[in-house]
Amino acid sequence: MTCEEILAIAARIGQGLLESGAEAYRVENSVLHVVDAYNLGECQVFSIPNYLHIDLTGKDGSTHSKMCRASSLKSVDLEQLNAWNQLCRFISETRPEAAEIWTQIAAVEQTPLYSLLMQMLAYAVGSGAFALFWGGIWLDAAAAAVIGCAVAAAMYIMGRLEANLFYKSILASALSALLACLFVHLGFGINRSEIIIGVFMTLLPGVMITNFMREIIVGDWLTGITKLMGALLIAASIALGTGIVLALI
Amino acid sequence: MEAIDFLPVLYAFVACLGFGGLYNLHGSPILWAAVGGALGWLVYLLTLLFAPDFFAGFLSAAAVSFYAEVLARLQKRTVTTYLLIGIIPMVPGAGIYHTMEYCIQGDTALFISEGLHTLGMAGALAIGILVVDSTWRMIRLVQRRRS
Repeated sequence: MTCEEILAIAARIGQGLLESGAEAYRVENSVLHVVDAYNLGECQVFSIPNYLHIDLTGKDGSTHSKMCRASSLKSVDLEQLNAWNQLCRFISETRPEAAEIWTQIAAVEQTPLYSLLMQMLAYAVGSGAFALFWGGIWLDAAAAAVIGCAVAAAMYIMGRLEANLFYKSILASALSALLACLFVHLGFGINRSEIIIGVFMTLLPGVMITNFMREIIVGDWLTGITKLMGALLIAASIALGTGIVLALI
Repeated sequence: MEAIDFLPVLYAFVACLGFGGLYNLHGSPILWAAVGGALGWLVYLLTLLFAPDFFAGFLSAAAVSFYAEVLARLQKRTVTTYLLIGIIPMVPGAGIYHTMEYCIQGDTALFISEGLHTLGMAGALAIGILVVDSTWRMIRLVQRRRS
């Protein structure tokens, strides 16, 4: 294993962790463990939400460094996060050869996403159950579930069109408010607010609210504040999207 | 106390199953994560019997956080897996909605009080996570130093 080889591997793993929603300290620690496993020299890692830098000073005094950008637009993918995590553990325990690691990386990249149908089902279950949870009746839950399906389809299409997160949130929440008003008008569902709140929950950045605190606890202020800002902006865009529709109707 | 009071715990469980799908979690971990969400809301409802809702939010977030830490050790997965999904029922979605509603209606007094209450709730959750996470780190440090 040469310095260049390990840097390329570590950068790919770090990028994968960042994009699947790992905390900054997990990215830094995992990359450090992977590089240190081969005992090639002294390694330093730094990461913020969409940037990763790895620096390795070899035993002969030569310096090698690699920087990589990660997309901040991908949504949280817990399955892939766990797969990357297990790969890191595997590497630092058994120290395999580079070729073997690359085949494993290819396998992690192939981690399946749910099909559109399953995603619609997930949105429907989440929205419907939350409509009940916040005090709606069964009819409201059914309406929320249908709207959840529509929102899932809309999010999927906008994802394909590479719409940014804020625009996606505004459009998806406007769509849900519009459908909720329509359904209540037609008598399919009674409590408009409960239906909208049910769908609201699936759009809210609950993930970021949880994560930003974990970042700040371990002292990654920059990452923590960035994630907090992201959460506030998305919450604001959801309120905006719903608000526009409710104000017009 | 009537059984009907605890139906939201069941709803929270089902909702968290859906969120497992949203965050692309596969297999049995979805069930475990949803149990975390139900546990959190159970703690919230029980705490509400004797304390204000900020404290209930704090305590339930702490409970979910603790549950996630334990389960992550047992199943060798990341804490995030269980924490992200378990905390969802406590996220003040209704608060954000009503804040927006008062804003549209032009009711500034209610808008500000609801907005501050929602922010306070989010803060209470964050502090619940903070307390458990930090305490857990200290305990692990002590364990490692001893061994």
